[in-house]
This record gives sequence, C-alpha cells and structure tokens, in this order.
Amino acid sequence: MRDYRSESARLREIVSGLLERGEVELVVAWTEGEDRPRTRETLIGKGREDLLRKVVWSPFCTTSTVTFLKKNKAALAGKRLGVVVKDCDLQALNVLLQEHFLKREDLVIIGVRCDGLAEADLFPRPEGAEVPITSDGGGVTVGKQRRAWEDSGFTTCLTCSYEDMKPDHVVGEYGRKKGKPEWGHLARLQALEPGKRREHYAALFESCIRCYACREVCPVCACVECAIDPGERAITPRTAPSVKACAPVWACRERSVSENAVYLLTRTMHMAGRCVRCGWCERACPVGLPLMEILDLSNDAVRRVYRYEVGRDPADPPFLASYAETDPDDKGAGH
Amino acid sequence: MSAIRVPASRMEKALAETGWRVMVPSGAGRKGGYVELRAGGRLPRECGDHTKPSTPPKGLVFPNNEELLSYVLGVKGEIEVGPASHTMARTVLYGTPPCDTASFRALDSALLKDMAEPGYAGKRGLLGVIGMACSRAGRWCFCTSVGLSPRSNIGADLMVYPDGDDLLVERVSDRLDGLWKRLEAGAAGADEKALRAVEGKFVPRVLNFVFEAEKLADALEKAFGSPYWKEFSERCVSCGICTFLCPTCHCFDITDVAKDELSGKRLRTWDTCQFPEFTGETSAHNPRKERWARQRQRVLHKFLYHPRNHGHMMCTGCGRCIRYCPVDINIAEGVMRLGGSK
Amino acid sequence: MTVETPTTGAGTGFEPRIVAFICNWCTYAAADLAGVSRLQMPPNTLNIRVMCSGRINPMLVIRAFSQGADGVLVSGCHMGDCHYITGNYYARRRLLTLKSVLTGIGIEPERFRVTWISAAEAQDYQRVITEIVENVKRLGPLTLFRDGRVVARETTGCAEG
Ligand code: SF4
Ligand code: SF4
Ligand code: SF4
Ligand code: SF4
Repeated sequence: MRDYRSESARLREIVSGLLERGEVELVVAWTEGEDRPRTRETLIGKGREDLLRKVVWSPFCTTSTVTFLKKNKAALAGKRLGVVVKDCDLQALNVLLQEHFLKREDLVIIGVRCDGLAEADLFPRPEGAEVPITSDGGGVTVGKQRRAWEDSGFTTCLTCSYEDMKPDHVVGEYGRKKGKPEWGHLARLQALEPGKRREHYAALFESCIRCYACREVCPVCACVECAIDPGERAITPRTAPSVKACAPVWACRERSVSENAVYLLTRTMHMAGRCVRCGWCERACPVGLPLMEILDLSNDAVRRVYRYEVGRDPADPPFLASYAETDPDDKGAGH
Repeated sequence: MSAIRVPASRMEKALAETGWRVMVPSGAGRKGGYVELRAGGRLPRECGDHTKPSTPPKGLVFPNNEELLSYVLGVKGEIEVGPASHTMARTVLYGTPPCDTASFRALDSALLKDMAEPGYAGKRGLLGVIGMACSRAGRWCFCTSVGLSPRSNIGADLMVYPDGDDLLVERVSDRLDGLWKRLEAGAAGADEKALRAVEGKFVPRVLNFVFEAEKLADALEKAFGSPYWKEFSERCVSCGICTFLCPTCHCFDITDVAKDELSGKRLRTWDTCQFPEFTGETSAHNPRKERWARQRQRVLHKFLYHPRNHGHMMCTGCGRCIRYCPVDINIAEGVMRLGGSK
Repeated sequence: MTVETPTTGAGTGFEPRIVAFICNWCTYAAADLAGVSRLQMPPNTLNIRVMCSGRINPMLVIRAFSQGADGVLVSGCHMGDCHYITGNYYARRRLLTLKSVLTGIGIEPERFRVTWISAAEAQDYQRVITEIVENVKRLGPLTLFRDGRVVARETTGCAEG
C-alpha cells in the first residue's frame, strides 16, 4: 500500500533541498488549493515556505507540470528549473526535448512513480489537512472513501505502460502492475460500417464548442502559433498580398461539423507520434467528448504500424520528422 | 393572487396545452445540456447542482453560432443581402436552478437594456423562464455570496417550489401570463405565509466560498495593481472554459465567411476574454497580452464593472468555472483574497 | 473556395470531385504525357501541381475534403527518386498516418490514395485516375463534411444528454 502523505513529505525534502543548495532557482510542483483533494501546478521559489508546505504528490495530481512549462516558457526562459513529473509528464517532456522546445540542461527532473490518477471530484472534500490518501493494486482511498482504479475517472491510466523512466530524482515506488496499451474501444468502432462510423464521429465533431481546451491543456500541443488560430498579424492597407497569403484560414469560426472536424483532425495529425495518451484533453473537454476515440486513431497507427515509441528518449528523432525505408505504402482500397 | 398550489401533473398538462417548446436540464455535468422535452416527457421534479449541466442555458438566446446576414453577388454586380432571422420557436425554460435563472438578469442588462441587441432581443422576447428552488447545493456553489440564494426568483417569470407532489407556483412577471391563467383556473391559492413556509424548506445559505458583497467592488478597485493577479493566473492555460460555460458571459466575435467568390455569410460566435487574440488590434498591439491581465478582466468585469453599471454582480455563483477549470483556478478564491473578506 | 463539380461529366449520374496533388517532377509530367498520348480518362480531377509530395501538409488534404472533395489523390516520385532526395519518404509516413485517421473516422480508403508515378508512367496515371473516379462513383458523395450541418442546436450540450 502506498501512503501519499509520506511520499509528499519526501518530495518536499527533495524540493526544498534543491532550492536550499541553489541547484535550481524555481521548482514547478503540485500544491493543494482550496478545493482538495484537487491539486494545482505552482511555481515555488526559495523562501516560499507557505507554498512549499503545501507541496503534494497523490493520484489527484492530474494536471501536467509540462503544460505549465509550455505556458510559461517565455517567463521561465534561461532559468534553472526543477520540475516534478509523473511518468506521462516525463514522456511529454521528452517529446518537447526532442523538438528542442526546452533544454535538458536547464532542468532538474524529479520523477514521481505513478500508479494511475483519480478524478478529485469523485471523492468528498476531505475535512482537515491530515486525511490520509493511499492506494494499492485495486484502487484509491481518501479517508473512508475508496474507489477502484476502474471507476476513478481516468481510462487512459488503465492502459498506461510507462515505467522506470530515468528522472534525476525519484519519489515513491510502484504499487501496481502497469497495464498495456489497449485498443478495445477502437476495435469496437472499427467493426462498424464506414457510414455508421462517419455518423459516430460526426456527432462527436458536432458537439465541440471550439473552446480549444483540449489543445491548451495538452503538454505537447506546444506550437507558439496554432494554424487554427487567426494569428497575431497586423493587416494594414500596406500589408503585401504575399504576407496575407502566409496566413490562410484553415478552419473558420463557424461551429459546423465540417469546420470542427478540420480542427480536431488537424490536431490529431499533429499529435501523431507526440500524443503520450495522458488523457488530459479528454478529461478537460467541458462537453465531455471522448477525444481519445479520435486521437487513438493516430496513436494506434504510430505504435502498431510504425512501432514508434513516443517520448522514450530525448535523443530519439520525432516521429513525423523521420522515416524508415521500410515504412508501408498505400495499399489502395485494402488499407 | 400571485402564488398558487397545483399538483405537479397539472403543470405538465398546462405546458403541453400551450404547444410551446419546453427546454429542461437533462443529464448532469459534462454529459448534460438543456434539451427539448419530448412530447409526453416528464418535467423535472427537483433541481440542484446534481442536475446542472456543464453548458448553461444562455445558448438558447445567445447561440454559439448565429448567422447575422448572408450575401450573394449577382451577375450584374448587385449585392443581395439575406437578413438574419432573429427568431426561434416560442420556448419555456423549465426547472432552471436559481443561479441559471438569475443569469438572465445579467444577460438582459448587458444585451437588452439601453440599447437592445436585435439578435438577442428577438429570441429573448420569445423565451419564458420558469425557475425552480434548488434542493441540493454542490461543492462549488456560492450563490449566497453573490446576493442570490437557493430559493431566489431573480430572473424568473414564474418560480416553482416543489413540495411533495405539489408545486407552489409564484408569478414573478407577466411574461408567462398565458400559462399562468391556465394554471390559476380553479387552483388553490397560496398566501404569503404558505409561500414562506415552503421556501423555508430550501437551504437558506450556501457555505462554500463565503465573501461579503458589500464592499467588494471598492476593495477590488483598489486591488487593480495587486501582484496577486500573476500568482492567481500563472497556471491558467487560456482555454476559455470558464467563460464559455459561464451562464452570464456574453462576449462574441463576428467573422465573415466567404463560401466562394460570390457568396458568404456573417457569423457571430462565442468568444472569450481569455483568448490572447480577443483584444488583438489591427495595429498588432494587444492591451491584454498577458494571462494575468485577462484573468483580472474576467474577475473585475463580474465583480466590479458590471455591478457599477447595473447594480448586480455578473456572477451567479453557479460554480461552473471552478468545477470545469482544468487547472483549478478558483474565481471565488481570488475574490476572497482580494476583496478583503479573508 | 469550394471545388466546382465538373460540368463535362457524362450522363446525369453522380460525378465525383477529385482533388489531385501531383509532384512537378514526376506525376505532373506523367499527366502531361498522358494528355499528349491521348489516353482516355475521366475528367473529374482537379490537378494541383506542387514541387514535391513532401510539401503536402495533411491539412491540405483535410481542407480539400472539408471543402467538398469526394476523393483526394497525392502522387509523387518513386522511393529513391525524389528530386529533393527524401521528400517522398517523409510524405509517405505522414500521409499514411493521415490515411489511418481518415479511414478510422469512416472515410473509405478508396477516397484517399497516395501513389508514386514517374514521369514516364502515363499509363499508370491513367489507371490510377480511372480507378479512383470509378471507386468514388460507386461510393457516392462524401457526406461527412458536405451535409453542411451547422451546429444549430441552441444549447450546446452533448447529444445524449
Ligand atoms: S492525451 Fe490529449 S492531452 Fe495528452 S498528450 Fe495526447 S493529445 Fe495531449
Ligand atoms: S475541449 Fe472539447 S469542446 Fe473544447 S475544443 Fe476541444 S473537443 Fe471541442
Ligand atoms: S478555465 Fe481555467 S485555465 Fe481555462 S481560461 Fe479559465 S481560468 Fe484559465
Ligand atoms: S463566474 Fe463562474 S461561478 Fe460565476 S456565474 Fe460564471 S461560471 Fe458561474
């Protein structure tokens, strides 16, 4: 059984040690906020005892510290940082390192061994700070409330296979056997007629309200300017047509099946070989769209057809920026 | 008489007789929505945080995708402009919790008062709201902190208080008098005392995130330059969920969509102050380039500017922005911190 | 811009619109050769010449479908023959991943083809075009994008809600 209170204490020691010794200027870690057991990513500097005291590691650390790095890239540039990561965060970090979005030498990586995540909203808000949070092979327990991993709200964690990555510091030990990537949900969909499948996905596209939360929370969706956005460009009477032509409208703002599909398909394609299946986009979607049903279409191809392992090593070439002579060809209709 | 007691089944019957479209909350949370009640469908008997869909009812009168006009260029160069239809089927929204009900007060004051916005006004005129007292507050609700309560009728045309198999129905405005007359005929009246008695069955105060409304605006005005805004929003990802899902947020964007060289349309879609391009100017200057400035705008619009202009807060305490924010940014926490209540 | 339906099609039946992105150094020349050699093939394609199949951003294909194409063809040089050495290798990986995604959402594999046709292979070009047009004719119009369904539902809750 894992006791996350003591693992959090160990994490605090490491974080404060790094800050004390001046090995890093700032640390990105999860802390507990008003809405426990929810956690939030927080930037902690030396002397911020108030924040340090709240540093926590538990299955409720469902957000990604790598997203925090991505969002605050400009503000944190050139600083030496400590970052606390779960296994999927570390994969995402590796993807960003492969793409030279971040520099490895700027980072001290503190890895927490993750057995899976749980949705904080499914658990009652614990009264008092010392309510124990524990987990074992079967599920998560907060105080008296226990839930099996299967109904803790994170389906992607059930099929997560990442383990034994090599961070600089390690906190905790695995308490549960990791799963295997599994594509049962795809197999069920792919068994349908193409027409029926189109209907299924059209309904998914139709419900999207285009808030772009899926893109913003994604740790690896890190383009400075997204092709879907109108972009930050000044169009004045003197703007040359050639400059305007560089900013085509790929998807207009109309909320239609077609335009929403352009957005979601484009994102899925750009996630090929980059999506680490952390599942955060699906969980963040305010209208509850099963986004993994579409992302896994490319995930499945990347992993099964091309045997590419996403984010294994910062030195690996990115999937779409590399090729193999043995890559398959189009089989026409018999794809 | 302004209140009556009727069996719940009578409300169902009276609504069916009107032939109006009835929208009710269905499903809850991310899987929910305000949807049309099917013929013969049952009306909800209670409401609360457990029946509150993630998407608010504002989309009925302020759709996410609205055509403002269309155009076709004719062969002789003449331009034919197709007008927008600012209309919808006559609709009754039934069973909205007080937070969603009160959202119409905020929307009306922004989009109807002083200078009516035709798209909104056209549809709003065809919408009646039957609010319902709330029997279960959730962990993110804070309606009493913003001057409402689980039994407030602000924004409603009729207000119902479920009481066993009966409903106490209070007439708040004259907008739904057609329905009211059907209900009233032969129904038992309910006096002030009976109304207060049944009201008393609903939670008087919600105890999450308590702050004092009194001096809030002044305190926030002073906090304009506070360094806390940065800390408040450093993990914000600018997704806009907090504003898209907010029942009172009403910012929009207008885009012209050319279908081809000869025709196209002008669209209005929801927009949000949290997107960096929202305040982007043609000169490429952007006054709210920083996330903290955008978050500050969201909080101050709701708790300082709107109250100053219209006399009530532009937040109904529904808690959606707290619950659905992917990174646990809590508007009430910010207000409590800067509003000097804690 | 929307893709115009060809007006020259035979009969009154469904005439598909096919967008073909073809490489300047090979397939475009093959198409030229096919024309000069008077090879017969259906007139349903809108050919777009690009400098390399490696130039094809998946978004171009997605956009073509969303703007009304019933089928899309990308054709470049055979592996090893790329004018820019490796452009087609990158294109192959990228476009076939896209094909998995498109097939996954129910766009039949016949509607999106990736082929390699050299400048001399006019007959291959003729065969591929004929095949794709015939296949798409059999499948009918692509409805996913073109039904023009706008999200008209006034509240945007989930369908099953
Ligand atoms: S699961 Fe979603 S959020 Fe996570 S990496 Fe993949 S696309 Fe991004
Ligand atoms: S989070 Fe959901 S609603 Fe928002 S853009 Fe993504 S898919 Fe659409
Ligand atoms: S929902 Fe949260 S992360 Fe998204 S814009 Fe609002 S405050 Fe920022
Ligand atoms: S600001 Fe938040 S709590 Fe207030 S009405 Fe909007 S979504 Fe609800």
